[in-house]
Amino acid sequence: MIFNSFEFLAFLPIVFLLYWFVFRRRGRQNLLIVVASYIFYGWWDWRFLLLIAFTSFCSFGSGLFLEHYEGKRRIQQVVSAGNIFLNLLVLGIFKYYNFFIENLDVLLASLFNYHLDWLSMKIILPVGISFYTFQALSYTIDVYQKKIPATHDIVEFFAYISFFPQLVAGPIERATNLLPQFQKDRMFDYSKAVDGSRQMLWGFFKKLVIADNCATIVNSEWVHYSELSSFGLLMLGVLFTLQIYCDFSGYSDIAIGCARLFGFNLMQNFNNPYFSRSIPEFWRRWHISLTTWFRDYIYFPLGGSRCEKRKVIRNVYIVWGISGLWHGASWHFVCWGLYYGTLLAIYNLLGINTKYKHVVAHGRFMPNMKECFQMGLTFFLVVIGWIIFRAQSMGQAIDYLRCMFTNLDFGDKALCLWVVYGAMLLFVEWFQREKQHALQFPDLKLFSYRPVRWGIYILLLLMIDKYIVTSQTFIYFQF
Amino acid sequence: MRELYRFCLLGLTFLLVFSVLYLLKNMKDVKDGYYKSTLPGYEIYNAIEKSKKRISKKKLVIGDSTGYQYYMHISDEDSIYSLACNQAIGMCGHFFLLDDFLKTGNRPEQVYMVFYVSSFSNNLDQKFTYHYFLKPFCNKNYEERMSETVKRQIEKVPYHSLSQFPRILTSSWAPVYNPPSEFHLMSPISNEYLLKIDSLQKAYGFELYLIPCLARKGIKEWNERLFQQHMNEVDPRLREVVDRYFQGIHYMEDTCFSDGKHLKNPQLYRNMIEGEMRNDSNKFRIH
Repeated sequence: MIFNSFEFLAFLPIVFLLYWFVFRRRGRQNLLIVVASYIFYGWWDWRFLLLIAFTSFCSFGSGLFLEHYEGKRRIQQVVSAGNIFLNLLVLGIFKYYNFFIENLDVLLASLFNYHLDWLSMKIILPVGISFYTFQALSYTIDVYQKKIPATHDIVEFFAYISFFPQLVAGPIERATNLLPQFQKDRMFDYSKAVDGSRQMLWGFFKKLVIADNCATIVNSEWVHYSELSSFGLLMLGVLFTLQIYCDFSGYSDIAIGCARLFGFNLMQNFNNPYFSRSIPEFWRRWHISLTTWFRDYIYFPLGGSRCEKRKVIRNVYIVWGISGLWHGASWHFVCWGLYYGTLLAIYNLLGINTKYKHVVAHGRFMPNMKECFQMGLTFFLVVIGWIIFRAQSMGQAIDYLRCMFTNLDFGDKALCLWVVYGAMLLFVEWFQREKQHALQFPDLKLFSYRPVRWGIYILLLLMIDKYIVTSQTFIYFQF
Repeated sequence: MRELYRFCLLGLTFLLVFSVLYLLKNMKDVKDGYYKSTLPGYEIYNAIEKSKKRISKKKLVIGDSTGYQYYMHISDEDSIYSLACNQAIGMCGHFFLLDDFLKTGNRPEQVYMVFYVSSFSNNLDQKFTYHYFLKPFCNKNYEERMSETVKRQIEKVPYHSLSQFPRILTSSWAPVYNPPSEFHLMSPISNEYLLKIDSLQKAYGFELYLIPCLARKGIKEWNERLFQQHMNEVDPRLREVVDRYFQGIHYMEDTCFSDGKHLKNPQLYRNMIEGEMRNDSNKFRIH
């Protein structure tokens, strides 16, 4: 089941009413969440429920073992390593098996003229496998590192792994944040639920109005990119940049808003990334849950930035190579990761990687010239990154970029019009950049009137109704 | 609990307010009729509108998209008036158009039915049936003229009863409908409504012609085999007409077609078929 479907339109109110009116005790509410989440996930393909149950069961068991062997560090290491291996094995088989075989085949064919194509299999990639696997890993590591105690309640643990709002595309929650919320009694909070509903509405608007319409144009124009002018290619890149932002941050808004209806606080996943003044700042604001996951579980254990420069650069490349591979089993994703690794290494060498922790133009209405230039440069570098990301292969990405810098012409201005429509959304987000989402109204008297607020909601709903196109799935589901 | 009830009550009130406004907006959209020129199947709405105009022209064309292509650029000075649109409306839809045209008071002397060979197989069981037939025709203007066969067929389409709901009527949404294809040379609905068209001819006394569209050489053998194997599907009263229709098909090089059905140059048709019509108009005449 996806958020932008009729099924979800019926599913959400039913689960909401059962949750608050029928299953009013914590244990029962957790059980309802597990059942609802499994229905939500199984709607797509019920067979993969076994996979998510297996992942959950292994991680739950490893937590109990880690607790049981408290003080025996060697056994604990074996248990946590075993669980990490099992989880990564499942992920590896379903996501990377064919990629591995294809590359091994090419290698063996070139060296010994021996082919391995008989080993390739038709494997369906389970939706969101990378997300829930990382969430399960975070639990094992956190228990091992004694950040949280192991849970003894299998229902609350299954609910933590499969919580339907964030199951298939994040935010990738940490056990330290989400699991304790399943262990506490939840009271209905009116203002939280209202704000959650608003955030969901804004998410749906971004997904259905901006992302899906951008996708229609990007998909139709990308197939003949070589015929477009430099300007057209740049605009197409910008359109994809808007599409992926509205698609993924739209999903995150819906997920966070939906979780708030049930009394949960999920971590913020996007914080106006396109208003960043540098690439490190961009990655502190884009897909925050994944970036911080890599930071905490890979970058820091490798030594982070508290070691000699050469090792810091190595760590950056390792993390971004893995991050690229996490996004997809293809070399162009790895190159995309390494592209950011290179940019971040440069910022690191210049010693400006930790600058800009506050929102741009904080306390001011407009940015200054320097900030405008910094934001423009960062945005351009991000567009280049998304072009590599969107391409079907690295060859296509290079060819696209070559055409973009050589087909010097200002044709294809029609694409510019769509970019202007998309930019209107960024305009709204600029004014709301210090809020969690654009529908957190400013403290103006105007917005204290309910008819004004309802008028805005109705306008957004009518726009969704008018501009909705054939339903497109979320881009990040494939990861 | 008070907060929860308050949230639910306000949520329901908002939904109610939105639903009322939404319904009003959609009713206005239906009344404006702008959707008729933008949605898939807009050519059907155009043909329906044309069928209700008083016209002095004496030659009328009804037909599918190939017929529509041949007579797309006829001028006001031309002696021909075209209601050709798309095969997806089935022979039933073509009958409605002709019937409306006659009921408006028009009295054509000659009616040409210009169809591609596969159009007769339409039994209102295609993926476009919702857009092309249910939305334009499943209303009180046409329902009483629908036969039991048509009604039974319509009931098989998912959400058929919602086709006239304002939001659905004015949107490009249609349910996914891909029934297992049952092959026909002449579907039950085509048989039934060709006979009804024939009865209109008897009632109004015009000359009726069934004219084949040009087909590509690549399907000639397939067409002939089809004709041999499925001729028994054709109502005995129509067999002679259908036989003449098949014998009259002109096969052209595959390169003359843009998509296997539609000609790159529609003038080819007018040169060939209209030339034949001038020489021997009885060749395609039904009555």
